[in-house]
Amino acid sequence: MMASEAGPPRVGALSSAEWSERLAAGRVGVRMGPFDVRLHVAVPSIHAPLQALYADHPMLDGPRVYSCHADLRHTRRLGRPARRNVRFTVDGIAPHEDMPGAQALAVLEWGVNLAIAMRFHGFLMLHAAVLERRGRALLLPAAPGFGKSTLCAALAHRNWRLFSDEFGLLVPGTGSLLPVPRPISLKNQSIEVFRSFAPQAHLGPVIPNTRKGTVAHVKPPAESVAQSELAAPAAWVVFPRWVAGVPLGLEEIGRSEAFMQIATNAFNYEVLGSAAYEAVREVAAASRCFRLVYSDLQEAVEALTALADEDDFQ
Amino acid sequence: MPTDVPERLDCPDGVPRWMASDAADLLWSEWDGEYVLFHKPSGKTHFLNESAWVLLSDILREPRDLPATTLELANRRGVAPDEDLSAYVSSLVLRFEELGLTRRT
Repeated sequence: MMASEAGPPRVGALSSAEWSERLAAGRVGVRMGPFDVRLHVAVPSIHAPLQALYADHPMLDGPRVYSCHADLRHTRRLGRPARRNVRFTVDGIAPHEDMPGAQALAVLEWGVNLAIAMRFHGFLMLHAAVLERRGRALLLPAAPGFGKSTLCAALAHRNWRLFSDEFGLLVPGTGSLLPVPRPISLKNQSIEVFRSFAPQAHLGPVIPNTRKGTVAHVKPPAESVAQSELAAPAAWVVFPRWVAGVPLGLEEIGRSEAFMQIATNAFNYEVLGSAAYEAVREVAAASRCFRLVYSDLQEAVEALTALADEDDFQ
Repeated sequence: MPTDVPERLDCPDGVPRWMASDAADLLWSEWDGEYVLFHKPSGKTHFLNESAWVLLSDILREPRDLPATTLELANRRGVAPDEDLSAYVSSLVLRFEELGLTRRT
C-alpha cells in the first residue's frame, strides 16, 4: 500500500486480508483527530466492521510515539469464540472487567473513549457532541440518554461537519474546539430512528444486550474525517433533551447557567483548575446558549440549522 | 435591625466577623446579573446571584459582623434591613465559610 498525494493512506484502502493481518499483529496505527492510536485487535469477528467504520481514517505507518496502545483480545477460556470474553487494555492496563466477546466492537469503542477521557489532560474535555457549520462550532452537552448522539448523527448527515458525538475537545487559551471524528454510538430505539432519517448512512452491526442496551455505530462522514485538523471556535451551546411527544422548544438561556452546565458535563474540569474555568468562560462568552426539547429529529435538525444560518457573526 | 447571631456563630469575644478570600483567589464572570465564581484554593466553581457577588467582591473586603454586613447590603439595595434580610445574609455568610470563600477574623 502506498501513500497517495492527498495524504496518508486510509484504512479503507487496505485489502480486508491485509487489514485483518495487521490488526491481529498489532501493526495498525489510526489517526483519530489529535490522537494517534495503535490498535491490536485479536478478535477476528470485528475486523471487517471496524475497517468499514474507520474506512476514511488516516493510517499511520512507521515508528512513532503513539498517544496510546489499545489492545483487545479474547481471554483464555475454552468455548466458542462468540461466548468467550474479551479483555480491553490500554498501554497494558485493563481499565475494567472482561466483557462478552459478542460485544467486542462496542468494548473497543468504549475503551478508546475511556482512554481519551482519562489521559489527555492537555485538553479540557467536555461531555458533549460537537459539530461545525459556517466555520463555527455547536456544542451539545448532555447526560447519557438525552438524545445527544442521535441528534449529532442526524446533523452530521445534514451538512454539519462532525467533530465528535462524545468529546468537546477544548484547547485552553485558544477558545477553539478540535475535531475527533469517530463512529457515533447509537442506542436502542434511536438506531431505527436514525436509519429512517439517513438511510444512506453506514451503520455497523447491531450489538444487543450490552450494559447500555442495544448498540450500533454510525460511520463518520468522509468529509468530516478529511477535515479532522480544522478546529473551530464555539458559537452555540445547546443542551438537548429528547422527550416523547413534546413539541419542539428552543429556549435561550443565560450564559452563567450554561457555564455551570458545561463545567458539570466536563470530564476533567477539576483536574485543570483555573485553566478549565478560563476555557469554559471563553466558550460561554462567545456563544449563544439554549435549552432544546424535542421529539421529532427532523424538526430539531431544522431548528438548529436555521439558528446557525441566521446568526450574524459580525 | 435584628442583631441575633445564630448560636454557631458565637465567638469567645462575642463579635464574630467575616472577611472574603483574597481577591486574587477569586475569578469572576458576569452575564446579565448572574455570576460565576472560580475559587482558586479549592478549585471549585460557584453560580451566584448579585447579592453574593456584592458581599464577596466588595462588602466583605473588610471584616464585618453580621449586623454590619446586613446593613451594608440593605444600603446597596436601597431597602431597610429586616429579619428576612438578616437571616438571608446569615445563611449566605455561613455557606461562604463552609465553602472557604470567607474566613473569620
